Amino acid sequence: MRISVDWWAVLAAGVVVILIKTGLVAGIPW
Amino acid sequence: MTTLTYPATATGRLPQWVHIVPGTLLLAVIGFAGKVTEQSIAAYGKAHNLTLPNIEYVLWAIVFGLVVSNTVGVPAIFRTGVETYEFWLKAGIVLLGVRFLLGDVVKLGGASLACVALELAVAIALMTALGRAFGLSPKLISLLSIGSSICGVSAIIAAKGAIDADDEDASYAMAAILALGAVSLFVFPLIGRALGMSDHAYGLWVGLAVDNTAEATAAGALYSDAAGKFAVLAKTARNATIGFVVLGYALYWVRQHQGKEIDNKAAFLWQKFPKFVLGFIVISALVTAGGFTQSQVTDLANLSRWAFLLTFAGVGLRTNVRDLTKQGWRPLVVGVVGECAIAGLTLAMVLVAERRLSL
Repeated sequence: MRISVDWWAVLAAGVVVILIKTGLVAGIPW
Repeated sequence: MTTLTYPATATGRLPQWVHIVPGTLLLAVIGFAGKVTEQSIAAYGKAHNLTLPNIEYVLWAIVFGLVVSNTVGVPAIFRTGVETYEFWLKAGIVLLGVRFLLGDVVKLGGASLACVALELAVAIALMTALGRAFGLSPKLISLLSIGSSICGVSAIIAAKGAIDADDEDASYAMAAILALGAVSLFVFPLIGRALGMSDHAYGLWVGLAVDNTAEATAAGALYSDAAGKFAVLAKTARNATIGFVVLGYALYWVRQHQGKEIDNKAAFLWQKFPKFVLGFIVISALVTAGGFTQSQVTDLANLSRWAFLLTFAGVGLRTNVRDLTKQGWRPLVVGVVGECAIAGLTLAMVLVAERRLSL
């Protein structure tokens, strides 16, 4: 199945939001 | 529309997603080298009480990428991964939504859209007149007009299929847009500083005048973090019009009996609409609704910066000066003259808006 880059970007950002929201990922440095 | 197939099926000896690993690592290494260089120069200046110019990691990442691609070149093993710069750009923009309250998006996006409408009309009229004056083919004129009025390479790729243009015309148009995008990275910040533009006004100008989203994001970030934020918002508002403009051109070429028939206009608009804009709006809505704590907002904003870091390395790595000069001179002349005129007109538009609307 081919998914456009746009949807991959939205999907990846969604996963990141869930990880941060649930506290599984925290303290990302810059 | 460009598509990637990761995670893909294991049809070859290795799963396809493995092929993106080397290039993605290269993006990360070059981007990180840019960040380390910026920090090292700042630390050196501080340690020796020197006032050194603060050259942002953005520029270092682009320059390092340019040096690699124009000296040793990008070896084949890295190319698939380097192409993921587009994914990092779009993921970075979606996550950037966390730095905008929805009200700001509506307000600034609305003002940007008004400027976009004006820019769009001017760019299309100008490119069409110049293309005709230089005797370019009608479809190349359409591609250059679409590329300069909306969003560079993505718009040209979207339009190429819709108006049934030649590969050669599309590569000419893309080369012209990319060449000018690369130049804008260095010229726009200098003009912005010389005119003492505010972050908001400069960001809006870049978002309106620089055609490719990656270059617009980089040119904005080169000025300041806040300018980069506004550049992305203005450019995103511009990107949102892609379906309408491409549809208009597609219908025009159908009437000339040289394009593909469009059965369902709504489906066509949805197909061409940049979906990552929806992700940006959803995250902005979540932060507006108080869905994140301050530390979560900081984490998401930092992740957005990391994603852009890889994007900027990709901007340098995919720019090959020799390839750009191989293209014919006429499309490039039309591109240069047209883009300079568009940059000048949008600058005037933004300066007026800055005075009137106190941007």
